[in-house]
Amino acid sequence: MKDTVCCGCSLFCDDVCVKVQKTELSSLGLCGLGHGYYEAVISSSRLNSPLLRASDGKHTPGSMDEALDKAAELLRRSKKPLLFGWSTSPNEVIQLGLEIARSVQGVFDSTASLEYGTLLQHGLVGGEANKVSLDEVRDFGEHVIFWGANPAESHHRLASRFAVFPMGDKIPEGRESRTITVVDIRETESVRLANHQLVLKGGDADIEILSALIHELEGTDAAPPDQVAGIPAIEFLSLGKQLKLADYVAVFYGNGLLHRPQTEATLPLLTKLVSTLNTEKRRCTLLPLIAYSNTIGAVKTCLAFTKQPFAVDFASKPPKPCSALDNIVSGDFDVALSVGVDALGFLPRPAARALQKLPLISLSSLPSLTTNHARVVLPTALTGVEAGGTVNRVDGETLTLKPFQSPPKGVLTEEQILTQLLQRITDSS
Amino acid sequence: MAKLNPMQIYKLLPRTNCKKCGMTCMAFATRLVLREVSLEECTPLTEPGYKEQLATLQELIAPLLTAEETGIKLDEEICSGCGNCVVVCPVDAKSEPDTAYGKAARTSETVFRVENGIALIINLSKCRRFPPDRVNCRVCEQGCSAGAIEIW
Repeated sequence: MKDTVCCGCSLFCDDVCVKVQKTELSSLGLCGLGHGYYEAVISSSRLNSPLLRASDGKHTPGSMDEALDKAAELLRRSKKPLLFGWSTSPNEVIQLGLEIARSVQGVFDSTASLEYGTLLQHGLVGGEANKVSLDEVRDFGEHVIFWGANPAESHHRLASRFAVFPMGDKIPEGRESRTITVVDIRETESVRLANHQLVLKGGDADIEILSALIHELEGTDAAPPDQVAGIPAIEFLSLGKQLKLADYVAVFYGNGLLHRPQTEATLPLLTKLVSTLNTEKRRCTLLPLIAYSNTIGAVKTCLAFTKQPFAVDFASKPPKPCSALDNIVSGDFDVALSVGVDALGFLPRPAARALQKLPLISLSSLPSLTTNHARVVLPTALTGVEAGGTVNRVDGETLTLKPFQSPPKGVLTEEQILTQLLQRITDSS
Repeated sequence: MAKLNPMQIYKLLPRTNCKKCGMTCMAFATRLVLREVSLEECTPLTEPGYKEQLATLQELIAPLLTAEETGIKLDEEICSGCGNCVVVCPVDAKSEPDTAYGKAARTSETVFRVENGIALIINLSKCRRFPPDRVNCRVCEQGCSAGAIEIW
């Protein structure tokens, strides 16, 4: 068994181990999602040779040199290339992506522009409440709230490693020392973990309950309503009371709050709830549960390189922010490079449709919608298994990935491919 | 499960009354059925000549070691491998203290261990529900958000 850092989700579990033997994989500690990630190593559908689209539209295997030449040519000749994906790649790879974007004067964008953009817009990043490590939540998280987030199904080990069950410095009894609140519009698996199960009813339910909760915490003499968003007064008042009693409240939120028509109204209220709870005696923290593993790394690396978190247009000097999604939909790009992420599967339909029509270069370990449509497919080593690097956990913590075996014959790491690609582009210019 | 008769057990023991286990063979047989002693405590059984008897004995007492005894059922089809059971289990906290702080179980000493993305009960006999303790502990069932653990 080899110790490893799992790249299956943004938790990057580092207490797990795996053993790979030709067609057999065994693991200890990996959740279903993580084990599934490692299964790519033994998968029979693994991409192990570069593919080039022939004139008849069919993919034919080609040499790495051929594929790299073709990819470099496409990027070099492009008037406006898009370089998209990145949030499953280590920071070193993202850095190379930014350098390529600069040398071809293209647009660099990561999946973060969809996942992270809303957070930035509403100031949910960078504040004192957002500077929190998961280890801190484990050690102090007396009251933990999951709002529109369902970690039991998205980040399987968040509850057992950090937020619900483990003992910590100020959490002597583990689960018994914590109060868990889950707010959602349906009864998710995470709801089963909660002391306070708030399954809301109605379209504006989040707004109603957030406002009422803030009102309650600020102190009011008015008699409480019989129910708010389908939640009876008694449940709602006892939650307010317990929040007031807690020394430390950790709030996690997810897509249930982020991608809804009411988001514009709910996020400022969520921030207000957190600032109301943050007093001299109590710390309240706020973290988003982001799906793609290295989204935070993609944002950090891009910020360091361009002072922008994502969506940067290198055609202007200094590079300026742009709306890559809008540019995709309006057909501004003539070539796209997709790295790690299945861009066509991830992007909203209008963007995916527009992107599908472009000559695509895809870096991927496994076949996907994007590789199916790509003009050039470059097979890549599996991050964390066959390729190393630095990544950032969902709370910003930096972790180092150590590869423990070499990729299949003829397969290079993303870092090697992009280094060679950059060289080919700069050599000829 | 048909009740085990001490005589069935007695007939397969060495019947030498060596008292290495601290009692006579008949007493051992009775206590084995009551699950107060384990088969391993009869050391002469491991000596050559008892191989077949040992195998039969193990077969006879095997039902005592199944889920029926603790009433725990873990549905591997539903399990997500989150490891909540590993972390909440008080026995695991003793066997591998790091698990109580959220770490994955890595030794073979715990009751639960997540292998290949699925939680397995690897030491059922250590479970507090198991005789002789028979504690009505249900923390794993309560902590399982997937609903894969059932205790009846």
